Amino acid sequence: MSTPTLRIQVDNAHYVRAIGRESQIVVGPVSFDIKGGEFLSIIGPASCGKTSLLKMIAGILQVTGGEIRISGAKLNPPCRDFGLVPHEPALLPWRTCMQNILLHAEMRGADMDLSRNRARRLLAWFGLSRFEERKPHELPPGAAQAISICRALVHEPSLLLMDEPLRSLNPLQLEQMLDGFQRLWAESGTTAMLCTCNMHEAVLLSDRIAVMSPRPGRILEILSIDLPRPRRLDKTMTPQIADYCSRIRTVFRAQGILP
Amino acid sequence: MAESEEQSFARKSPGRVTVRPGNAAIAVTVLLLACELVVRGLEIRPAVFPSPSRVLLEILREAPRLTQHAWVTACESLEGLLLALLAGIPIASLAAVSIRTRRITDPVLGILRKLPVIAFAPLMVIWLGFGIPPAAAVSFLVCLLPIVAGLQAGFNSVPAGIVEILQVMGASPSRVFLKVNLPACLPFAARTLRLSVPLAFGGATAAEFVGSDTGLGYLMLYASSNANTTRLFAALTVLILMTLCAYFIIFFIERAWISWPAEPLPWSDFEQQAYSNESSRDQRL
Repeated sequence: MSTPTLRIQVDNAHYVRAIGRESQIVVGPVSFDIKGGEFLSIIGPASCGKTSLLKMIAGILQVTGGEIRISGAKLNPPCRDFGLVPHEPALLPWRTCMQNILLHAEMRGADMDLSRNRARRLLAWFGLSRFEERKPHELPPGAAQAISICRALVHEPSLLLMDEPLRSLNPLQLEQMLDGFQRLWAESGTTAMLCTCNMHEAVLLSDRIAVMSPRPGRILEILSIDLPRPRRLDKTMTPQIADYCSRIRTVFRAQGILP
Repeated sequence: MAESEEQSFARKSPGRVTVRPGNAAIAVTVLLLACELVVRGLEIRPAVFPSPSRVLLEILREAPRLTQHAWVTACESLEGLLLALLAGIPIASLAAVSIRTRRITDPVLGILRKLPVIAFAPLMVIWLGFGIPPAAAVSFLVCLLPIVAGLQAGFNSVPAGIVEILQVMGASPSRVFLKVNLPACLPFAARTLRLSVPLAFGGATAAEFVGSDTGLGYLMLYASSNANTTRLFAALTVLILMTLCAYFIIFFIERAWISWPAEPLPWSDFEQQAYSNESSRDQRL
């Protein structure tokens, strides 16, 4: 299941993008690490380089300088057993939900029956079992993102990378998903990294939160969240969550991002 | 109950209208009847505007000849269409895969699009001879552009983020093309093919006007020079019916096979499309 030995070390990594003749620093240099089984969130203003950082760790973008090591080994090609959840659901419209979830098994030639059973479990978990044989355009709003999360989790990835997966949900759906997702994550024990712009989301889900500056994105502060799980936005916990949020706000205020 | 609830989630796909063949049949019948009444009531001479019943009689009387010529025109048009598809698939798929190919193909196709292609028909007659080959060539030239544009748009109509997901899964570029770009193109291919049918038939007929001794175009030209309006109408009717037939055959195949919504076809200008796609591509990379 989980791989507690997995450890992501990001060491002075930066990413420079060439736009015409000019080159622009998108990220970094940044240094941090993600421990096995940990949930790390990256929070920062829009276009601060969160997505680029995530893609660097996924191996889709090559680091311009510095190094990213996965369990000590240098990361080069895309790591095949990671799970990726992009900010749009990115489901293939001609495939049923089940076929969409099984994409990874199909690509890697994994055991289809085993994957199908896991997929069924995940679908049941999100309460979407009846949509198994439906196409994405037949799904209720918000469910497509759940399918996308199922697709990233079905092969029990050693690292789950999420790029603002919940940003298109309405507030009520968001709260449902936050609650459900916490339990799912606790059950799977996967190491996870989440990019987000939502402080509540970050505080509810994460063990640690890295706060990023505007472009070129650097890590300003890493906060540890010491709250018992499961975390909910209820009476007892809301003040503590608000407290963490205000700490994040203080960092942003110092940067002039928030008034 | 649960079933209907799930059904209600299915959003109506864009650009798809429920087809009611009954309504269309009624509309056409009413129009033809009105036409018949007006022509008879005003006593318009057949040489100017023959009544629909007269045209129908002419079609029945001349059926063997019309069929023979219609067969020729159909063959020419479909040959042209098929050739355009065969040429269009590699061009469009290359352009979808490599941005370098696109930098060459897009301007060429953009220029070609602004040319009155049918005007090349006399040249085709000189180069390819009399009869079927020039007609097929003109129908090919007329169809090539919309087909390439449609296929190209189809290959590129990939949900944002899926390519990266597949990369993380370790899929090679050719695998991505096979699993994502190719199926994404299917609805576009069907639609472009369907919308190219009238172009193909029009192109073939125009070439027959220029240099041919068979085909409906030749028959129409001949009837026109003899002032035989009724026969002209008969040939025209057969041509229209044939075009509609081919169109609806593709339409029904499309409806049976493609059950997911796709973006509408962009029949926009080639250069504009190129620019917008290039910028979105860079972001993706």
